Amino acid sequence: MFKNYIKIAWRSLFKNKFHTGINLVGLFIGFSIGILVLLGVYGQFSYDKGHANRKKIYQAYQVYNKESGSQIGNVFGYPAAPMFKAEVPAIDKATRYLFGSNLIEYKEKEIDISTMLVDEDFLQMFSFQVVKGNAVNPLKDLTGVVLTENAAKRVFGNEDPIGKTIQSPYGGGKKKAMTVVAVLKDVFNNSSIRFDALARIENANSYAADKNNWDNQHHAVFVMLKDNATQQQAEKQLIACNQKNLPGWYETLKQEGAKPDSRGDIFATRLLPLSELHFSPRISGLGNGVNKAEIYVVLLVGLLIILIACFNFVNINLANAFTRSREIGVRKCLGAAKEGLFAQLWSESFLLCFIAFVLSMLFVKVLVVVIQEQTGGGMPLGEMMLEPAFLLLALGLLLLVSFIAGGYPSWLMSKFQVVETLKGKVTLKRKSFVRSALIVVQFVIACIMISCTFIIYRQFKHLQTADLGLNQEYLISIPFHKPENGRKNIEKLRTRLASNPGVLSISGSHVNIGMGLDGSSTKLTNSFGYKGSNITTNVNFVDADFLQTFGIKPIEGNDIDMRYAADTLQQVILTESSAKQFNEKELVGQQILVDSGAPAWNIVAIIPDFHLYSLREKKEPLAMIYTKNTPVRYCFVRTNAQNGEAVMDALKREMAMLEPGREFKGSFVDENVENWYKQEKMMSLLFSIAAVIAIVLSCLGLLAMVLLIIQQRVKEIGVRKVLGADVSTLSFIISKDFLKLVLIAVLIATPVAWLVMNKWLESFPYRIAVQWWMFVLVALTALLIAFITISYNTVKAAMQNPVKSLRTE
Amino acid sequence: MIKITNLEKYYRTEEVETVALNKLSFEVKEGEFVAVMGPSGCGKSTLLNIVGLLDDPDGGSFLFNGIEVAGFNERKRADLRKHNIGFVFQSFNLIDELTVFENVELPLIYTGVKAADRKVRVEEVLDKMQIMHRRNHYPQQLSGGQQQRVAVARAVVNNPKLILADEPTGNLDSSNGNEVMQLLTDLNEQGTTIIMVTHSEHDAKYSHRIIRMLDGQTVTENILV
Repeated sequence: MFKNYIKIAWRSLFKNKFHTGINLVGLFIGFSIGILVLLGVYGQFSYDKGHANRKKIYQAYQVYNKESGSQIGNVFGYPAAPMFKAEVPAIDKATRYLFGSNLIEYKEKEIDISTMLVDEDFLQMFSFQVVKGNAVNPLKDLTGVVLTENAAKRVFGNEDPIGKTIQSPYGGGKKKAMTVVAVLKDVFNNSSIRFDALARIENANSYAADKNNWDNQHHAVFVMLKDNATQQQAEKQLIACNQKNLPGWYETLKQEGAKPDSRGDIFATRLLPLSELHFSPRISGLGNGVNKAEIYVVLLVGLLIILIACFNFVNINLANAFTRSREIGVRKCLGAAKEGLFAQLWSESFLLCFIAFVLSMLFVKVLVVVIQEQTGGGMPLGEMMLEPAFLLLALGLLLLVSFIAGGYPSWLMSKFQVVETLKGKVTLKRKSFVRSALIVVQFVIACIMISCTFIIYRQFKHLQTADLGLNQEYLISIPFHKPENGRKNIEKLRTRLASNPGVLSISGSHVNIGMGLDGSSTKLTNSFGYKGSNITTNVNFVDADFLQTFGIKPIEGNDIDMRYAADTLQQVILTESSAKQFNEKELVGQQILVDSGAPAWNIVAIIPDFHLYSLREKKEPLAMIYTKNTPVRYCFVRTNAQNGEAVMDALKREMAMLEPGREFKGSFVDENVENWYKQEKMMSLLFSIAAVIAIVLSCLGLLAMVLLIIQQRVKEIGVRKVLGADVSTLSFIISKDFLKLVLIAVLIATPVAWLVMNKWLESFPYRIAVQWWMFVLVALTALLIAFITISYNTVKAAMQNPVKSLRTE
Repeated sequence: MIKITNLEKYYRTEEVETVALNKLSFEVKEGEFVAVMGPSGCGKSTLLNIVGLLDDPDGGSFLFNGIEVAGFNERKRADLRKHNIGFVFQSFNLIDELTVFENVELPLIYTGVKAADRKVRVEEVLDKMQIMHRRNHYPQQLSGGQQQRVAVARAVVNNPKLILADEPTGNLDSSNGNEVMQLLTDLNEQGTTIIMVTHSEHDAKYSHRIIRMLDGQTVTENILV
């Protein structure tokens, strides 16, 4: 019986080549998108699954419920983690996690190796396998360094790395000699915790001075709970630990008007499960995470595309059903049961789905392998495709699609009345609610996607071109490999490029503007008491000529002048909102003591608030500090329209001399600013691709439907023509039913898109306004595309010789 | 074999009710060859559909081999039909996607006959219908007469007790029509009961008895043998 089903199915597919082709193309696109989306989502959810203790590991973070709202902090001072481990009974192990250095020196050769500074517990908490050297406790020794296989190969080539001495500056300090004690298997691609090398945190430059300082917060903290401990227990105990060790913090927060949250805390250390780390980039601060909402948007878009493909399939099969009615009648007459017929018809759908599915799997496999080869990194999606769990998911998708797409038409056809089918009375209804509804839903989805594409793109452009409060044009940013030499190098560049007419001014900053080629971004915050009030401000370490280089005009005071640099005084530029917190009438020229151990702030200028960070964040108070010794990570060079590229080339040459053997990563700030909005750009791209696919699939379905309806109405067209109807009237008669459906779809899609896009825009402090004309434009586009799809065939049908059509009938 | 008493069938739309069979009664004995004649719309095909268990009557009694089948559900009707009744249609109703062999094999698949037995039975019947040489052809590659031979082969392959023929020669020329009528006669002579709906007086003469219908009722019965 089954063989018979397949035989019939195979022959039916070949018999209706046009509709099989449309169905196959639609399903292929649907499956390819579906498999790609599933694979992407599968990859995202596979993050951090490789750690045996994953269910017990958490990242600690702090919640401050200030009067102005809840704030989350993901960095701690050095004493926190050891205190948590010692005083919180639910915590078994704890490690600090601090960026140490990007550089390892071996035999006078400097290699880009990212070292993270951690505690001894780190390798007992996370499952990074030791492949060579001390496998028992590699981080026991303070002078030991652990390398990944890849890092070891880059530093030592084919030499045995164990026991070798390397040098590295941790935290911008002097280089320290370290001994390689172990080699680890490379960090798996889907790990939130990433490093090339590990060393003990006690090696950090600032450790000796700050080891008991809770206020200087710079590193993440991970804890592992005891076997029977729960997150709730640990969080409760952490509060007790904070109350005991940080009474001053509670006091200050209370004075500032902090209010308890729903759990009754004005300040708390809470825990983020490792499984949530990848999906909570704002809490984890690890930089490689994604929001679950973004994953769900991608999943939803993929699902909608699959749905459109399914609806095409359903519609074409429903419309085609009448051509199969006689066969179904005969089979019933010869004894076929309804269930058997359903199985036969569904197996036909399944066969087509299966062919499309196999083609899509092959296509996606080739695509991800090619992309991986081109980009040379990322998750091994090609291999993930062969994992049993993913194959099961993909098979689930196949079954789901074949069930949605094939189920309803098969059920409907198996219900045909045998007598009517044999009489040939089963014909395609001109207007069917199900068919119309499916076309409407397809175009609703397509219209929503077009609207989203349009609005997301406009928002992206708005972010990209918005005024940051500084002149981002013709400004070059160059990251230094050794920030500790930043100021010296800037000075050298000033001297060497003094005669270059294209160089208008040079300065430095610890924080980059935009996302440069080094891909890094930092945020420093400082809180201190001043005359009874608490001042909280972002901090950036800058170099002389900052205002001139960035094109910022001071409201009061002057630019930083290196002639007045002193070890005991910091020149500081405050933004307006930062200055307001001091509640002083005359701030410029005053010296302010922010920390008894640090040099005083000499306020040299007050400037308007500007965007140091992306427009996804509101402008925050900012203090820009100039001292002779603080590291500066970026050099900024102001140039002009005529000399931009020439100056970039000159800088490349100069940097090759200042940092020999290092890759030059200079870039224009306006490009870096665009990179801030990569996510929006990607989303705009995703939606535009989805919108094109959605509209193409919907139009394919519409085309197939128009052809079937024309086939059914050939006699009517002939009769109308004989009675005097002209081509345009006939085209209108045939087209209007379909255009009506597209219009209904536009009317449904518009408020949905309006709501969704307004909700999305709410997350941006700086956003465009959604306007009515945007939707009118989308509606006209959809109607025009649908009209073009329909018109060719309707006109062709209307131009047919009526004698021929009547005779054919 | 078939006993129909006061059989009724109505077709209703929202506005009109049409009486297709109006308290129709007649009987067909095993081995008989009965022709049903009458003008278009008199209820011949409706009668054949009900006798063939393709349709439900709205009233009256229908005994098939002494069993009341008027109230049978679709599953029971399908089961009874596939074991006992063969159909021959005016438009042949062969499945275009299947070859001659596969078309004839189909009823055997639905009655669960094993593949090896099916092959023997199909070849036997194709041979008998002198269409064996066309076994791998598709219906559209055959002439009308050949297609109707295949349809007859399909109707008899399960050795049904009853063959229902709805205008079996309606789409054939006279030569092919005669051949088909001869095939039906031969089958009847081998013991198969045949009920044939026809407009053709010529074809009706092959039968033992002619039932003439008008407005859903039998008006006369002519016994020819």
